[in-house]
Parts: sequence; C-alpha cells; structure tokens
Amino acid sequence: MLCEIRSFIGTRTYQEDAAEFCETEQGLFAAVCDGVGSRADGGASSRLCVSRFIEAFKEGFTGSYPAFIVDAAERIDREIYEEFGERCGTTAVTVYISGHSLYWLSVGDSRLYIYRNGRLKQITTDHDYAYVIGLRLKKNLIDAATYQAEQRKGSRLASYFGMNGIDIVDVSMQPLLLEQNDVLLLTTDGLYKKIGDEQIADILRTHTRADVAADCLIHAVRQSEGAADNTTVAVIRYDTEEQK
Amino acid sequence: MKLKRCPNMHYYDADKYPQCPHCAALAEQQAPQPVTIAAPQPEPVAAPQPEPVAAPQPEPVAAPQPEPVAAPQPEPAAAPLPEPAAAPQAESEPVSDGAWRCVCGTVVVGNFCMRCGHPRITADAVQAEQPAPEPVPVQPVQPAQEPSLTSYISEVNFTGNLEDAKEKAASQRDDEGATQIIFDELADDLILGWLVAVSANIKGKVFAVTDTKSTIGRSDAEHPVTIDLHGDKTVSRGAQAVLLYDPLNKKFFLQSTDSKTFIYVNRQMLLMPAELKIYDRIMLGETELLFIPLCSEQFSW
Repeated sequence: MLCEIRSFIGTRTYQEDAAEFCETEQGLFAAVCDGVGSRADGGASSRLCVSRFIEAFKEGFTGSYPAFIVDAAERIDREIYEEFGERCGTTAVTVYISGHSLYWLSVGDSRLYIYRNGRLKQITTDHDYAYVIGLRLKKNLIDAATYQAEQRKGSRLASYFGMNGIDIVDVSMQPLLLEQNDVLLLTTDGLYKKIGDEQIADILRTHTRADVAADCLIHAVRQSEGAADNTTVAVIRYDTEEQK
Repeated sequence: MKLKRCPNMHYYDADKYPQCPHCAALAEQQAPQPVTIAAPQPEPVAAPQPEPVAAPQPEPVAAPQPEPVAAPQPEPAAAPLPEPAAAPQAESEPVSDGAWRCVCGTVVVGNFCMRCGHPRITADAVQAEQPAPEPVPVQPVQPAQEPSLTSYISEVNFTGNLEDAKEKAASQRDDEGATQIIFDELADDLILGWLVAVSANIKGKVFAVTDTKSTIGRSDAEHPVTIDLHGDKTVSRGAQAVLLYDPLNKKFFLQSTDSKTFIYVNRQMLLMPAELKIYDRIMLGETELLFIPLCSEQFSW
C-alpha cells in the first residue's frame, strides 16, 4: 500500500505545509500538517510536528493505539509551544492503517476524507471558530445574534498544535474497518477551500490510481482562479491484493 | 476463561458463550417468550425415558419423573401453548432532543437504557414487527440493518477536548472486543483490610475493603454504596460513613457523612473523622463491624 503525497505552494511566499508517511511492522502511518503563524515559524512548526509523529510511530507502541497517539499529540503540542512560542503552530491530520483497521487523529482544520462506493465522506471535524460557536449556540451559551456576529471570525483556528494544551481533537476510539478500494484523502484547507467536495469526489471517481488522483487534485487547485493557499494532499488507496 | 465485553458493556466468558448471555437474558425478559429455548440447564440425568414423544415439546412437563428435582428453572409453569401473537411492542416514548423514556422510567440518550439495558424501540422497529403473526422462536434481537458509513464514523470517532480524549483512550486501553485476561480487572482490587460483622444479624460476614474510599451504608438504585449492609433496615439508605485509606501514611480513617444513621466507634459517637485501629468496633444500626487492616506500617502494596 502506498501513500501518494503532493504539495503545492500556491501563490504564497512560504510553503508552511508538511507531510510524510512511513511504514513499519505495525502498519502504515501518514501525517499532513498545515503550519500557521505570522512568521516563518509556521512552516517550522508543521515540519517539526510531522517529524515528531513519524519518530514516535517508528519507535513503535504497545497497547491501545488511541492512547498512544493522544499521548504523542500532547507531547508534540508542548514541544512546539516551547520551541516557537505563542502565535504560531500547526494543524495535523494523521492516519494509521493496520490490516484493515483505520485510526485517525486530527487537530485543526485539515481534513481526513474517505471515498467509498462512489461517495466522499469527511471523517474529521474542522476545529475552527465556526465549530466552537456552533457548539456554544447548541448548548445555549450564546444567543443567535452573537452567533451571527461571530460568524465573520468563523474560519479562525480554534485548536492546533503549539497552543500549549490542545483543546479540541478528533480521535478514533475504535478502528473503522476499511473495505477493498476505499480511498483515504488527508488534506490541508488549501484543497477544500479551493475546490469543493463534489469536484474532489469526481477526481477520485475518475482516477483510481492514488498517484494520478493526487496529481489531479493538485492540478485542479492550480487551474482554479485567484489566489491559492498552500495545498497538500496525501492519497492512500486501500487495496488488499496489492498488499500481498 | 476468556473475558470479553459486549457492545452493551457486559462482561462474559467467551469460552462458554458465543454471544453475550446478559444481552440474551435481557432480550428474553423484555419480550416474554412462550418457549424458553437456550436456558443452559443441566439436563435431568437420563432417567429411563419411556419413548421419544413424537412432537418435540418444549418441556416434558408430564414426564414420569420420580421427583421434581429443583433444577433452577426460570419459569416452573411455562404456558404449554405458544401464544398466537406476542404483544406488539410500543415505540419508546421520545423525550426532547433525541432522548427517550425507557420502560423502566429512565430518560435515556443512547440506544440502550443505562439502568436496565432495554434497547430503544424505534417507530421502524414497531412497524417491522406488526406484520409478523407467526410465533417464531425468536433469537436475541440483532441490530436490524447495517449502520451507514456516517453513523459508523460517528460511532468510532470522538470529537472533543484532548483531556477527555486522553481519559477515554486510557479507559479502553484494550479495545472493545479484544480478549482481556481477568487479571487486568483485578489490578485495582488489592485488599486493604476487612470489616468483619460481629453482631447477631450477620455474624461472621466479611466485607473486603479494596477502595481507598469505601462507603458504608445500605445500597439502593440511586445510592450505591461499597459496603452494603442491605439486610439491616435500621441503617438508612445510602452512604452513612466513609472508610478512607491514606496510602501515604498507611492509615485508615472513618468519617460520618451527615446522613441519618449515627455511627459509633468503640461505643463513642463519631462526630469528627477518626483514625481506625485494629479491632476497633464500628456500629451502625443493628450491625457491628470489627475492623481488621491488612495495610499498615508493617505491610502495604
């Protein structure tokens, strides 16, 4: 099984996305991060985050994966904060595939999608301010007027690595069992803010090979008009026959 | 012995049962079936049986048995004839916001009642049940259809605070369904000491103290206590006292909970938290308990 990673700097000066994957006896692990911050430290944060995750995974783990990955996330968050201080950090979406079990962890607004039987489904939640105020509205902590007024700040990140105490995470507490030909897509917001879910689904439908699909996703962002953000995708096609 | 946990959080021995027997028992309880099928009963040892009766009858009630040996039977007088139609189940009464009211009265959010384990009955399930007049020997109810990908994801995913995620991940270090060894469960159950009943009502009964905070009193559904003097009606319901073990100094303390029942230690009323020593006598209601510590200066875990 291969993980095809592609990055595109967009119209920005810095590439602040980072991504990597590795395979050990325990399975395949991949991480995609999107650095944030006013200085170049955004990119350094995301690269540090990716490499720490990869190191932790290569060291191996015993016992439950969710416990392992949550511990690792907590540790990496603290390190990024100590290294780069306030006002910068990174999102991270990670997957781990062992046999046909899929696990994930996500912090921030990068996404994990699963494409199965012609349908694209977003697995992770975007941890942006819009999510937070939605939650507060639902719990009656704020009124509808406040909710509306706060919407303009909706796209700001509400949870990220480097905040010294991650607030919101998405973690799989139990594995999701993969089916033959499932496609997993890890992506930073550069992709989905530029091309919608429908176009992503179309590309994955047309191109069953992971490498071609990854190229086409980046190509679609390049082709679209206007300014483009850093964009990184990792595409994994779950094929049991290929494994043996 | 292979300890497993079923989706409804019951523990059972996977070597003995292919499926969770607690769930099966619950399913049976809530839909009283005329025929008890899979009750694991020890077969009455083969008394020379006359002849296999033609129709396979659920219970050979009138078989010429010498003595009705008291095998623990769930229903001694099972109705011989299957009823034509099981009473159709009513849809669970929905309360606000996706919650529903269980038959036992509890308001529940998930698909199973936390209190009695009763599953939620949806409108679909009621409809599906209506046109089924045949009394089929019902298997324990299976979830009707395969969950959609969306509900599957929301079932396995957790979105929320990292601290909570950590706690949740730690609480299930061995995943659902994974085989656990029974000793995994016993790690926290190390004996700290004992309370031995010396009063007439339950003379000789031993209560093991395994928690650093054990409540003493009388349990009911809403007020579970650790050391349950459930036979002693002169003890008020709920926790009446707390037995504390201080692992740092290896000492035990007893504290009253401001509840109704008076607590006496060596015939002195307990007003302030008091340290307990070996052979101290704790009295509440009609019950008197002798305190025997295991952990002390000489020994601790």
